[in-house]
Amino acid sequence: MSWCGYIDMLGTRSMAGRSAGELTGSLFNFHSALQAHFPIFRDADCVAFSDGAFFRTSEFENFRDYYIKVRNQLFQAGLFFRCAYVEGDIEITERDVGGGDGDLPREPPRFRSFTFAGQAPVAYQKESEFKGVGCYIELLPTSAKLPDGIIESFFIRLEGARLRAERFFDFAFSAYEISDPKSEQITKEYVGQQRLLDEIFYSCHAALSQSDQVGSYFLPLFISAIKSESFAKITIVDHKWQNAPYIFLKLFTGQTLKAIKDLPGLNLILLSAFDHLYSGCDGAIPGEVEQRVLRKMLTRPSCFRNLDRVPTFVISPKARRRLIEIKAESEDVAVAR
Amino acid sequence: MEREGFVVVENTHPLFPKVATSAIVARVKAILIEIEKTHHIGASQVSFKITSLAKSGQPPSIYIKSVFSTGSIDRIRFLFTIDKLTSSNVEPYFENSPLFVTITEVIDPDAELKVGLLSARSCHINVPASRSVRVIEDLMVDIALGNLLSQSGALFDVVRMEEFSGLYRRKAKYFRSRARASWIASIDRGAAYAPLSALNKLPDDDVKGRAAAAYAEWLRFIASVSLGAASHGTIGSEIAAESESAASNVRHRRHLSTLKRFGRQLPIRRIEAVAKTLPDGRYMIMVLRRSSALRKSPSLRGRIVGLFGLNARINSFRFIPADAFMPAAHTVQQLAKSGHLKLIEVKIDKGTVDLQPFSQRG
Repeated sequence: MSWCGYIDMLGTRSMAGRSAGELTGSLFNFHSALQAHFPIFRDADCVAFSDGAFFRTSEFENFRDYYIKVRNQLFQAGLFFRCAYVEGDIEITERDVGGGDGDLPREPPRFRSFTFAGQAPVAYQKESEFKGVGCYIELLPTSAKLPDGIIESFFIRLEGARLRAERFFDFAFSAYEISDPKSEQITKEYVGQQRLLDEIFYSCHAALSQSDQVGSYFLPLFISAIKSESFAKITIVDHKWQNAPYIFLKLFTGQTLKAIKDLPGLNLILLSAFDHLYSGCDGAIPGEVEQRVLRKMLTRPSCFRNLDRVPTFVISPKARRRLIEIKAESEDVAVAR
Repeated sequence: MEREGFVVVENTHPLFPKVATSAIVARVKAILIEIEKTHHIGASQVSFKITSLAKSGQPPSIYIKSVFSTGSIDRIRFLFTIDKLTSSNVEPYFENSPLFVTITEVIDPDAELKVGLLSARSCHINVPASRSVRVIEDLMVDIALGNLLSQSGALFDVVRMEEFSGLYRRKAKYFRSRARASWIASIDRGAAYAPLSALNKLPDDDVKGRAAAAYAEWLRFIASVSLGAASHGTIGSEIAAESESAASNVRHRRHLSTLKRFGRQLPIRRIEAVAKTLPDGRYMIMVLRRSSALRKSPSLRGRIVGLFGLNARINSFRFIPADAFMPAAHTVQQLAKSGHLKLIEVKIDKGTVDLQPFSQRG
């Protein structure tokens, strides 16, 4: 069964307002990334133009390896995008009129255009409705196990002062991409692959200075990073974290959260991380780990407001119950003192 | 004005990731701040941006046209590639550039400075991969120091008489005379530019050493230009010029300590010690007079730290060449109006600092 999609670079309008050179360079890098890895995109067509590209392929599985390499290369260059991947095919119609005949370079007047039919409008619509950085994969939410390399994530829609979380499926990050830059234990999977988490935090921080809306597009990346890791073996030994993934340490230790403190939905990121920790530990988070995580979450009071309204794909009912319990216990302790 | 450079490589190259080019800019800034701290001059006022592009197998004729045909090339100072470039690749876009250096990464173990691909104001550098970062850093430090030090004194005179192309030719000639000091193995006779900041063999991570060496080299260059100017004048005109200069000194000499209200509070000895290291010319000295803002107001703190550094305190000072003063004027004038800093216009003549008429502002 064919699958198709649309990818669109973000921020091109504001780049154009800042500097023609910056826009030109960014578009150059966008096209270079799509082209560089195209040889591994099996049985595929891709038409890239300006800041977007339509693509199609014969099988669902063909896209993943291509996508994660394109994603890595673009993020390395500080370029972010929205992508949608849907079932179905795209009809590409090309017009190339005028310019003379023969093998010589074609001179003006010449008219060229591409139009896209089939599922192209669906892919385009899904991409524009997706308010996040990453790939919106249109999979039906079933209880069946997700395909390899696919994780459940969510983005937020800002509606005035309120925000609403919406679930979607995305391609997971690899272990190397979201590992600690200082780590020597996890090695690159291919030449040119880079670690991405620090660039994501930095770019989110920069985007928040533009607007909350733009900054909020980065939220799904943090969720995808959380869900791409296992929190099952995190412990504290002699006051030191053991087996704690880099994304966990960035969220729950140190000062990194300050850089993204204004991110709409930051509380949902922490709730999602707690949920992932709870389920990874089968409901039995080691005591000291739980306390340290709670302490960090207490610095964000919004984590504990209107918890009933937080969707279950952000935090499960059991994890929510546990969180409320330990918060109450910590308040009892404070009162008892 | 921000200066720009471009790195065009494959996506697998170590210089492609933004984190790599950001690290280069950060180290250049560290070197310039070190010079600023030590010599109390506004060395870090020039900012830089490096953009890396993934060429995806495309030849220079395609990617140069794709990226640089927008026409806004005035700020671009260098292009680093892994491809051999020709004049026809760059001339259509960069012929009128104020300064344009091309750098190609090569397999050869030694770096070579060659004749540029443009007719003037350019040079070409071949570097091994191990020196790719270093050459870009040294070039950017050189551009910053050149921008600052050519605003006054002997270099200002050279630019006035011979334009920047004349200054760059003199630099290249000077570099050839000192070539043994450089990590660059050779320099072609016809090269029209050379980065004086590359005239040392210090380790890449020796920020303090590189800062000191770069600044010292520039001062030696300025001294050589001054000596050259003196030796080329006629005897009569030289004596006349010296007499005129001496006379004007007698007429206008006013010591810093004579400034009303706070002249006697200035760190005169430190100011004079710094002045001895600076080329002759007109300067503005910015003196921080109130530092309570550092504790109370984040926005003011940002502005003050931007001008005086993290260790800013009362009587911290900075020399800015008079002609380079304008770009910072808005922030500086606001701080002068509010009384946080004082501006003093001075002239440095053979190490002596003299107040200029109507020299105190703020």
